[in-house]
Amino acid sequence: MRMNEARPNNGYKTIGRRAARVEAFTKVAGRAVYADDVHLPGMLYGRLKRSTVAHGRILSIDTEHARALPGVRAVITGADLPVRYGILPVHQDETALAVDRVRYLGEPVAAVCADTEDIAQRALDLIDVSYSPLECVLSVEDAFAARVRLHESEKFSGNAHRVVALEFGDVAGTLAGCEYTREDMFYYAGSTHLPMETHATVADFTDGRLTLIVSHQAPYYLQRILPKVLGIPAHALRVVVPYVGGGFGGKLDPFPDTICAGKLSIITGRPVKFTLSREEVFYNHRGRHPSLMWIRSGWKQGEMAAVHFRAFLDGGAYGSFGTAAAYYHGALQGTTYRLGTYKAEIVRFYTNKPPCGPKRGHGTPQPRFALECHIDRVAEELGVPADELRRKNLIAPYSTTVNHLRVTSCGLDECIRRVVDASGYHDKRGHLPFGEGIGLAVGCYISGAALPIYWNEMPHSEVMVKADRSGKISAYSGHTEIGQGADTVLAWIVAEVLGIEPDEVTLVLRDSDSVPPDLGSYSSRVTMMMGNAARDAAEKLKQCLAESAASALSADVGEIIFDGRKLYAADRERFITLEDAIQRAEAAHGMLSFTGSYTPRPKYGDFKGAGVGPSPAYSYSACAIQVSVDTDTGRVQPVKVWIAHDIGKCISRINVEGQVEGGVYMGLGEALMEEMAFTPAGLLRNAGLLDYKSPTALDMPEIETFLVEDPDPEGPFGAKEVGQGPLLPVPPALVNAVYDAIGVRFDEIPVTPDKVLRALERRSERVGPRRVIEFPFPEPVKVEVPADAADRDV
Amino acid sequence: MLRIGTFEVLRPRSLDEALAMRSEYTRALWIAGGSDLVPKLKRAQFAPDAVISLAEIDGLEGVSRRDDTVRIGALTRLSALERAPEIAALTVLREATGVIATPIIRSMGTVGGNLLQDTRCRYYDRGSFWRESLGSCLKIDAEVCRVATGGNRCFATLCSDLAPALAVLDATATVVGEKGARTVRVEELYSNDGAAPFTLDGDVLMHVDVLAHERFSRYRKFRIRDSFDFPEVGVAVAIEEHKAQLRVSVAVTAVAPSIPVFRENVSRDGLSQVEDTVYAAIKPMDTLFLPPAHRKSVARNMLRRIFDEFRATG
Repeated sequence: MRMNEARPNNGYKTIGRRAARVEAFTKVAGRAVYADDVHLPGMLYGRLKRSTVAHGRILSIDTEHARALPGVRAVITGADLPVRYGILPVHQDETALAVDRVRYLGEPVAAVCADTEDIAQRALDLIDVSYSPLECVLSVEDAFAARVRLHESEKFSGNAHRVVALEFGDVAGTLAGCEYTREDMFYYAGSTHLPMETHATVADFTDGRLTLIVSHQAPYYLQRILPKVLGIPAHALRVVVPYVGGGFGGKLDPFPDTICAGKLSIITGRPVKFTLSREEVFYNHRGRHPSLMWIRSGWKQGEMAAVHFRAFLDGGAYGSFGTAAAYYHGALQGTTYRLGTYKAEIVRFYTNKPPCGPKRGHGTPQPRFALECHIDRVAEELGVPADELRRKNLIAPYSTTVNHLRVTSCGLDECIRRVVDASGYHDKRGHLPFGEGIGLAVGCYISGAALPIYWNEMPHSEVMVKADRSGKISAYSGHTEIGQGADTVLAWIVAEVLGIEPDEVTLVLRDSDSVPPDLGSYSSRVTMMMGNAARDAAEKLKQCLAESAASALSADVGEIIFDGRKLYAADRERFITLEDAIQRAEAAHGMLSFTGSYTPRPKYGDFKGAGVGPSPAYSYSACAIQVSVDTDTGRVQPVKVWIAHDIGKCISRINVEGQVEGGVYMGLGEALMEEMAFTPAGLLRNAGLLDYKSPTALDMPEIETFLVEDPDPEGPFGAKEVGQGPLLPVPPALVNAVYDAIGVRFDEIPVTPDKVLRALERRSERVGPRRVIEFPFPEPVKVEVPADAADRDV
Repeated sequence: MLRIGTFEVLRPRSLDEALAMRSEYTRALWIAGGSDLVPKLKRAQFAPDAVISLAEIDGLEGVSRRDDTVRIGALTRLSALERAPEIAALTVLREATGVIATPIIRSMGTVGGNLLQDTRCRYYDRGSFWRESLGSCLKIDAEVCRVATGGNRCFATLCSDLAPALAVLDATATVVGEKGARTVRVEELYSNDGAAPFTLDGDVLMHVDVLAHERFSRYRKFRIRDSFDFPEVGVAVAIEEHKAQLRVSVAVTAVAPSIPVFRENVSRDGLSQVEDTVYAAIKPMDTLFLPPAHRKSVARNMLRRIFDEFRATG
């Protein structure tokens, strides 16, 4: 895959380098330790008994035979873990093991631990659960029409879990005055994360303290939630996160296997390990919400005067991050385009399926798909090239969106120009032979959520940098390395500040007993927040050492140059070594440890719901995809992808490219083949890697990546996110290309071969939903369009 | 992790020893490369009392040519077959071998294992928790079929890529059992009953013989992804031309518990009639990933495309 260097590496020694990540050898050599690699003396093996019905009351659970099986050490049910929890404070609707009622097929109802995995498995077979089935609700339409209620305590009717209604300016009035309006409906299928490593936990309760060694993206939240659920003091819980084999949002909630491991270890006084099978990961899920959407836009002189957006999210059985997903559905339309007025009405329903939650892009790929496909059709009807219409409506850098979000740097215009030029979009669009086509779309994502899940004013990331008299520099951080390269970001930033090599930075990570807090690897926040905290801490150490060197060299502090373990005076001849500088400073001040912190402070609105969407900075992407459609089979083959990403400033070039390519892969999977499909009884049809289709290496096209670097004032060295944003333009660019190839508008994904061939055989012009739900949205919260919304204060 | 059940593992050194061992157990299974069987054992689709490995029996592995006949040992690895010069001219066989599963599985899986792989169904190839939630299926222990809920016939589908390729080459299979050896056409290995798909009754497949002469032949496999996936449908064609007359052989995989084979003598103009005949005759069921009507359409389109290629060869 080819890569285009954006700019020379202006003055940095490490930042922006093309070099291997810090843990590359460890991982490639198979030496990295993951949770399932951990074996402790006397360890027991846990297993979960899961519900075989999608919705029902639990009449009885008979565990007597299981308990009697030799080698079984403990059996627990919902009665043993009655405390409700949920990742969001507003929705504490889960228990680790079902209490009285099951709400999805695969929901855990009991847990066992035993001397061996085989005994634990046999014990499950001896647990007898009887259910009284309830009506099974599997879609938003079912949920709205059903008589049964999944959660009787909910305040909304029709199994609605969360309703959002926001209006910025007068949308109806503006629409009435528009020269051109258009409405469309879209459906975005639910998909799952598919991390290579399945969920795993080793719990070890000893001397009154519980240690959890867990594959997780946000141990901070486990630290916060589990003491309550397990009935232990917070200070008695230690969370260790080893290397994590992928997360993508699927390891952010507290999961039943982790909680049961903790409980069973407390009961037995022995270490307990749970490692889920691939099938069980599909039941843990928390992935992409299936979303039914409707959009109407009004245009004046080619400008987007009004957008009215509705979405109906299929949330699965529990709240999880669903409230955030619902708000995110409406939050980021305005960060790409200058909307005159804007109204968002969104409802998330409970259904009898594994709960949905955050997956790469968290609640924004679905509305992005709708908006970008909609704009493609508007451009066609207005007779304007799709890139020109977008560029005419782009949000200006350093401006405020219609929904009161503060945008800083924005390289979207350059991103569009790069992919349009490189792909030959104008020469190809409408001119390729039947069966071949090209499509374009853009996207935008947050570089970290500005607000924490649990409201407080404390820093989101803290890093400690310590200098040791041996000359060793150590960085302490609580972030998690889920494969995205966070360890590399930490080492490279500290190395850059101190003028040393990244492999000279010792990383102390992953153990809550020894590292400062970091909220976790989610919302694309790590480079922005941990990176800023690391820079802050390293700069403080640098200042201290510069003073030490200045004194030794009779130089000014400001003139000291850090380069390769030497601290030079301005003449570049006189120097002291790093070790010498550290020893002198330690003699003068005692132990040298410095802490850095980062707390985002962006500006945003003061209406209810304004807290979802604000970010220190936004990343931007544009993507062009060329496809070839096999008219014999209906299979769509992406031929080439051109993608430009506004990264602000690249810290680790190979990591950034890897994240872009990973986003393209995941976006293509969602666009072409991935979908969680259920039987009428609520059984997930494709709970395995052979049937849950995700692209293989052979299905991936060539990707040409362009990095647009315009350093953002908020980011460390100007860096913005790359973990999630590049996925967003991929699905709409793909279907826009399919339209160019065969003249069929796919207003739903995935675009599977059977749908394509049927559309060709029937000469359909469109494939997609034909109606949405007549949901009685409440009167929206009415918010003024910010006075500076149209400013182009570049 | 999925755990495998408990059973005896036996490693006979000769066919006689193997057959004798088998008679001592009631639920013994043969194992060659294991790439089909082992995942199924992990999902508890079989509960054998013994698994008998064929790996140490001499004479079952390798590709050789004598006169006009290429002999392919049942234990030949798929990766070895793919590279064997003896089949270089047998395009359909080379193409079919090269698209089976993944390179890693082809290094482990064998010719015999591919031909005698278990039939597949979306309601059957599942873990035990899943099947318990479903209420099981006809192929294992339930009274009803989940695909055709009214019937008592199992439609689990044969998804071998090699079987149709060998069938259109008129290949024969030699099997040996307690009553001695016998030779049948490759397609006669299959009973067309998804629940008990083979006609072997415990016999061991020794080798497959195929005539080496060059002829037009093609295999087209349709699947969602270019690796891993079993065929959603696969079409094999061989055409031999004698003066103005064509002898056309077509075999289709992944549409039934067996391999439907069509052998027609037609003129060049009659090729489209063959398309119609095949299209009318195949009746895929809802056993795989994509819907039957789509797979049927794709079979016809792929067949037409192969015939177009043949016409283009002059």
